Amino acid sequence: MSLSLLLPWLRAFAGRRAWIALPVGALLAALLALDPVLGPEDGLGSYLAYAALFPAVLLLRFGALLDARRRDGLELEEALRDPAGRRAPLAAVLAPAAALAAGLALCAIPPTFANLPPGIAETARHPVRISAAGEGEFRADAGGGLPRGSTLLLAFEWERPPQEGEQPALFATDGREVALVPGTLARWPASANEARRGVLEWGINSDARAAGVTLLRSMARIEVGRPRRGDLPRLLARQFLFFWPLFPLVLLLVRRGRSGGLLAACAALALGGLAAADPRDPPDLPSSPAGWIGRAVLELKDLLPDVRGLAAAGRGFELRSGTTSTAALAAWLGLGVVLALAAFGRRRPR
Amino acid sequence: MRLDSVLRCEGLAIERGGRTLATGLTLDLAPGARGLVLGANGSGKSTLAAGLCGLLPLRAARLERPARIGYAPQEPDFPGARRCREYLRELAALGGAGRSAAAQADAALRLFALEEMSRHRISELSRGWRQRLNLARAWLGRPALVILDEPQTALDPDGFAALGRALILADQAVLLVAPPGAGCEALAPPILRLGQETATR
Repeated sequence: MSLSLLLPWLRAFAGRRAWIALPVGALLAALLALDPVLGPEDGLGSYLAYAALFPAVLLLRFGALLDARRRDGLELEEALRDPAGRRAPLAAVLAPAAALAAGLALCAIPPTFANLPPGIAETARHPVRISAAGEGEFRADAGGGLPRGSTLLLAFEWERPPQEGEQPALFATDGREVALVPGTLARWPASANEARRGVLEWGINSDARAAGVTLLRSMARIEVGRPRRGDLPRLLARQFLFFWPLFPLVLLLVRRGRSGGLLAACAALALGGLAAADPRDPPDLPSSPAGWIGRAVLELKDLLPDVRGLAAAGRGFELRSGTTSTAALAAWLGLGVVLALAAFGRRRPR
Repeated sequence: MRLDSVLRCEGLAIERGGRTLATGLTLDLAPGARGLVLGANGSGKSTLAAGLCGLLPLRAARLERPARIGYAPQEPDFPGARRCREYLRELAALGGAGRSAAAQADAALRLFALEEMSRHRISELSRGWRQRLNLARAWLGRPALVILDEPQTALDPDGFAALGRALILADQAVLLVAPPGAGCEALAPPILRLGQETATR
């Protein structure tokens, strides 16, 4: 790939002021998100949410540039000089990827200068829905995969202390067991399989039931490790993986679907939003046209790979961060590659 | 029928907006030859030029043309924010020039005496200079056939002389389309008059 084809794209992405606006924006975002008083604990999630604005803006800029290139006659020149439609689409796939990587790499710098107070908790705890799965058996559903090393914290009410010889405990069908001690939280580590599914199941043994143990469901929490500032490059790399396939989608819609670039970018953002959405409590949709549309949207979401872990940002992002499976990641990136390949080929100017 | 034609059309029809403007046209241009298509406004000259370049569908009993054609449209579009040399470099790379993209861009700029404008933004160019850039763009990468749609438009005497010089120096086949009396008869011999008989060169 010739640099002469990539450079015009990169210059156009940068515009005349973007490479000033981006560092200044990232610095402001870091100041706002990582303020030692306002948000020392949720700061990283907030910063990731601000950083996600950059790929979204870049996507819109990409759509606008595709429109501009058509207006400027470059579409006609492409039909004349690259009739097989290989070099131009390749540049249009690689250039936004390079700009995205460079911009996100830049976003990794400002937080390193933030002055955070010491003593931020290393873990975060999130409420989790518990339901009964049978007599003395329970199920916790996190509504999606959980990070590795997650632990379920459970509080119990006791009618009486355990008698001598009794060994109240939680157990799982795979043989795992956790002893219950009155006055302390029970810690149930999620197995790899449970973390992947986001569903934890356990039972209370007969000794515990004899002691009149009652699970306090509203106090159940999932404890996950809180990513540190040093994890930011990895978190931003996930954002890159999440946003990259949306660019070939815009290109395909413009080249094959004859859509306007900005409209295509909005469609890609909508699809990205759907893939990133985390409906922990799916709404009970009415049976009306609006409800059908809602159901169709949820079904479309089910068709997409679960990449919520790549796009996790904002408050409580640690619950989803890094939960994307290799298969889902491969499917998401594969989708991007397929979209890019579909955008190649001869194109007749409008 | 010559075997060494760079452009050969038989039974060619020009259609625009569902209307047939001409039928049964024949065009034959040898490598390195010059030819002029003459026609009044609305006779379908520009439609023919764009069709021959593959930019519009064309109906013909037989149509042979090279894979790469240089084309200077009558109303060219340019990215105004770009600098001339950088823009031509991109187009050369788009045509697969690779490392020689810069050399090709410089050669095209030189051909139309555009060197002094090479670092200017296209939006800063006058209409005449833009037309020179339009012509340079068509010659970029030395395609086997160059099609120029009313190339004399907006050219001052120097620009017109540069076009004449390019037509003398270039070894490609060049097809011009222009209205009668626009001065292009001095640049190339008429080979087709739209609305009248067809001719072959």
